[in-house]
Amino acid sequence: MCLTSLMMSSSLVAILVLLSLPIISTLSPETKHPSWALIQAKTAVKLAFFVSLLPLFLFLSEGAETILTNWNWTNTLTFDINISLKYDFYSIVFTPVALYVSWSILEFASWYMSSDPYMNRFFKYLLIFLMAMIILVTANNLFQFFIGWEGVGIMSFLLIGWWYARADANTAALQAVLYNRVGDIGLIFAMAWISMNLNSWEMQQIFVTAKDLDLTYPLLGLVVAATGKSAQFGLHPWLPSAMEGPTPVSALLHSSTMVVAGIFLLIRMSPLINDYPVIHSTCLCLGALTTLFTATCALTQNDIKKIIAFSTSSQLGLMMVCIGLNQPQLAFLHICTHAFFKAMLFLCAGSIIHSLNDEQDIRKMGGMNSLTPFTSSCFTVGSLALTGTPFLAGFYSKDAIIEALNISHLNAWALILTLLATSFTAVYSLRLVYFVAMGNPRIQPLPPINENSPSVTSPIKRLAYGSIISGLLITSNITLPKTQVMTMPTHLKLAALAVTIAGLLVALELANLTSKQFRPAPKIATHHFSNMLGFFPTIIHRLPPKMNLSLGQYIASQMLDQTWMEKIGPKATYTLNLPLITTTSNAQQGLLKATLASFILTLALALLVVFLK
Amino acid sequence: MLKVLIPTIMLVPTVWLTPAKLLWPATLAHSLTIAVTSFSWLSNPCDTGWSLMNQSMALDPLSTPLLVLTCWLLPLMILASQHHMIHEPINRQRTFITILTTLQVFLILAFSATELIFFYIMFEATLVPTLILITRWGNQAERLNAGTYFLFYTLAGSLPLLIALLLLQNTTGTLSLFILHYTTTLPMISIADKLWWAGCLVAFLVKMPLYGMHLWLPKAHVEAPIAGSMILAAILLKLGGYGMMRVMTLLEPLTPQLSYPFIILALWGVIMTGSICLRQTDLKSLIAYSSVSHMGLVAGGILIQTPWGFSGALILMIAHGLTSSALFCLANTNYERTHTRTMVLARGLQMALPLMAAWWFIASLANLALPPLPNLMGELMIITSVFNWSWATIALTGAGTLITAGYSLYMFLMTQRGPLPNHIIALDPSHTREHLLLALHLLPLLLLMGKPELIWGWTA
Repeated sequence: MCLTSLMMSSSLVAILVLLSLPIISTLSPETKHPSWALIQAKTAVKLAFFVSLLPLFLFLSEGAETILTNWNWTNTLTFDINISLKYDFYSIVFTPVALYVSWSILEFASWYMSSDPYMNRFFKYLLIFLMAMIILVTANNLFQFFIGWEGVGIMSFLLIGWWYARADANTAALQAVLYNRVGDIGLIFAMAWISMNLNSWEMQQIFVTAKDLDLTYPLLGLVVAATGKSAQFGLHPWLPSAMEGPTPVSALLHSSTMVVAGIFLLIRMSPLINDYPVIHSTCLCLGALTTLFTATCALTQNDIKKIIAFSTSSQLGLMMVCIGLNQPQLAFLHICTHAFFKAMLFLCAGSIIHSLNDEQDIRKMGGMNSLTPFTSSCFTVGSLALTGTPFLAGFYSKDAIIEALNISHLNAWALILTLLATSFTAVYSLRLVYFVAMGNPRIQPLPPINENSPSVTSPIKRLAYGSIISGLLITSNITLPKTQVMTMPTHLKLAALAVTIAGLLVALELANLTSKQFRPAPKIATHHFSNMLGFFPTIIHRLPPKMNLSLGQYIASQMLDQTWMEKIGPKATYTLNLPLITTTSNAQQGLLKATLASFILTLALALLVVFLK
Repeated sequence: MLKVLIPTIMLVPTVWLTPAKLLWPATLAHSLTIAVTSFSWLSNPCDTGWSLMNQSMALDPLSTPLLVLTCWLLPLMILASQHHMIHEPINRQRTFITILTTLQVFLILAFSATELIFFYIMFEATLVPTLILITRWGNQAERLNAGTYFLFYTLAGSLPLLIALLLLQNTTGTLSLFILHYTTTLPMISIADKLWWAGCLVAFLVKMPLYGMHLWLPKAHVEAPIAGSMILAAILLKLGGYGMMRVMTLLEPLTPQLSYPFIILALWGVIMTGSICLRQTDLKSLIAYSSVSHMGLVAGGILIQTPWGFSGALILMIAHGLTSSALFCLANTNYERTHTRTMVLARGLQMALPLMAAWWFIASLANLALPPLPNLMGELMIITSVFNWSWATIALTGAGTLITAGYSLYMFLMTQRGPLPNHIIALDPSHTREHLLLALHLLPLLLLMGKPELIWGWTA
């Protein structure tokens, strides 16, 4: 083994060991000191981040990638399942990003959750989640990927339901798992198909052997899987509901890491998707629909976390669009930059929520610019990065995606939807900043405003640096494996910027109108559509569960189990035998005549048989 | 073989001769020693085929995991029953353990039998102690009805098997599993042949149980005492699966066509019983119906008759045995404290018994087949193998996994999460015994992840 790959694989192992050490230390029965969270958990993540820089630098300087296959886990006939880790472009770049973001979030959580009696447990959950995420990212075979995939799903269940005495939190947690399970059916379908037809779950082997087969259906299965995990249209409602969890959870799981797993799956499998235009169009349309729909929903929400959640969903739609354009690398780039500013937006939101005595409604905020100057300026930076303001992080990925979209000939409808969604991004981002940071305070008197603790400021600060420079850093250091189209007419080049600015202007105008009685009777049908999330949860969360539960109760349980099966099984035995039994037993009720008559009859018959023989 | 069987039989004198004070510890230690001894079977020296043979018993990769599970479960049952038996007179306690032991002896003989008739007799013999367990030691009056259902469903299914086996003996001249594979299989020409085919399987399908013949199971599970529920869920249902795998290989030629309806019924049952689980108010009944649902998958995997299907079925049987038994134990810990099986009356227990909530969580996750638990390996292999037969099955199996996740987490949320109602604030704290009991259920499950070949069956 040459030195480079040795260093890479050992640092990967070192990361896993570093993260698992604090988890293992919690196995001892004695209660951990409250400082465990900060001293052990956070430090472990921090160290893991620094260790993960080593392979990143090796990759940047030498382009080194490595695959570790070390243990034949199990096999059935000729089908092997190995533990094999893949440390390639995607995992090498994503691991440091995820660890950097987690490091900041863990530090922030030590402030945010400080009044929670189970803070250590919270950190342990976050660490286990991080392990699962790294397993997912570095997995080189589908089984291992599936472990990480379900692992992050279950940790999200636990973390959304962190305040478990609240019914809402439990519902949201269950909702997340169920929506994800729908997606898992797609993944299971794809895995079953692949194992049957290609006889391997190892990624390289799949890529090599899949050349001659029609992969449309398994790839559709993967798209369904990504739809569930990455909250694409149809399976999206769990993501905004997941905001029931603590804010650090929203920042880590539901913006920067777990929800991108679906997109990541498609990126991993992109060599397969390459030759299937059907899949591309599916992804493109699905992504465009998602990004517009969720951006529309974000427009009229009043909960600060819900708005950010919907914007996450919208950005995930944009990543899906990118997959549809056959530019998985751009999607990956957007995953990386998005992680920084979205995590920061959530942390800022968390800081503001705490400062305002756990108030989440943006209508009851305002004027935070002078009350919490640091948080709200970072909040503004994050929003700007989200809208794709030139030279902030979001610009480098988002602009490139929209350029790629503009020059593609795939689907004009998807293009229009995406551009519309881009301008909506500007609208809701401005609305957020307008209501939270600008204007007059509409807050309760005597809010416990305090943003002086270094465990609030330094994580936000670190993420702010990331939101500002990460785009430039990443794009100038890596060469994307696929060439971008560099030349295009000026109006196409500026399209993204133009729609964003148009969105901003419209939003400003609208914002000014809010304080005036513009119309005596406003038309609010569109508002209802957006505010009620397109009536999607109202329909989908009532009708199918009702059908299913009625099936369970009325058909499966009452009609079949308790009635028909009883009737034709045990009860039928009873009713069919009853006449026979009553007849014979009625004959023997001590009636002397009847008994003697039957006795004589039997005797006569017997004699007859004997004599006639 | 005998080094496990004879100590198990000698457990009976131990039960009756031990001083009353030491009854439970002594039997526990004794049975645990037997269980540990049985582990040595797992290191199967010869790669294929039979090992540790004597005149009528032998081990092969199919029966070994089930035998070890059988031996493992006796100490767990003793551990679980301790609390609710402690108020009984000492002789009744002794009788109770004797019944458990007898059941274990019959089960060991059934799983290790190399002669089909021997297997059949032991298969039937297990009914007697189980029936006593349900009807004598159950709690409600409905236990008598449950016992009747249990006995008659199983008997009605298994009497045709006796005829079928006698016919097989007449035709081939042997019922020994060693030789039977080398004899010519019966031709499937007349309707009578097909009835013979059905006769061979129906006994096991009822025992599994297949959807439609499952009515006895929820009743028996709900009414049985904890040890009864445990052994029913963990081992007795698996007798059906085991028997089917044994007989299936003798029925080769025409079975694909004949078994299709059963596969569909089994998979359909996964969905139907899953939906029933979603509406259950009774905790034990929920777990019982979830057993039917899982065993439906097992039945599908076996009937499909591919190596993957068989392996998957065996893995799922073992994993489900440990999981559902653990769930019954958990339900029983609730029952012993609140004296109700109704879920709305015992909710929010995480507040009161936090460590129990952890066990609940792990057991629920195992029930919904979280990777990389063996449950998932089994389900995935079965789903793959029925998928290989027909694409459309993914709709049934996929919906099945969704519903399974739904009711497992519903059960978890309902019992553990939410506020603690006022009427159950004064609960007993959880006992070390209970934690040990659950650890002994779930640790093997977790350890099996490391070396799943142990329960892989013939294809390992």
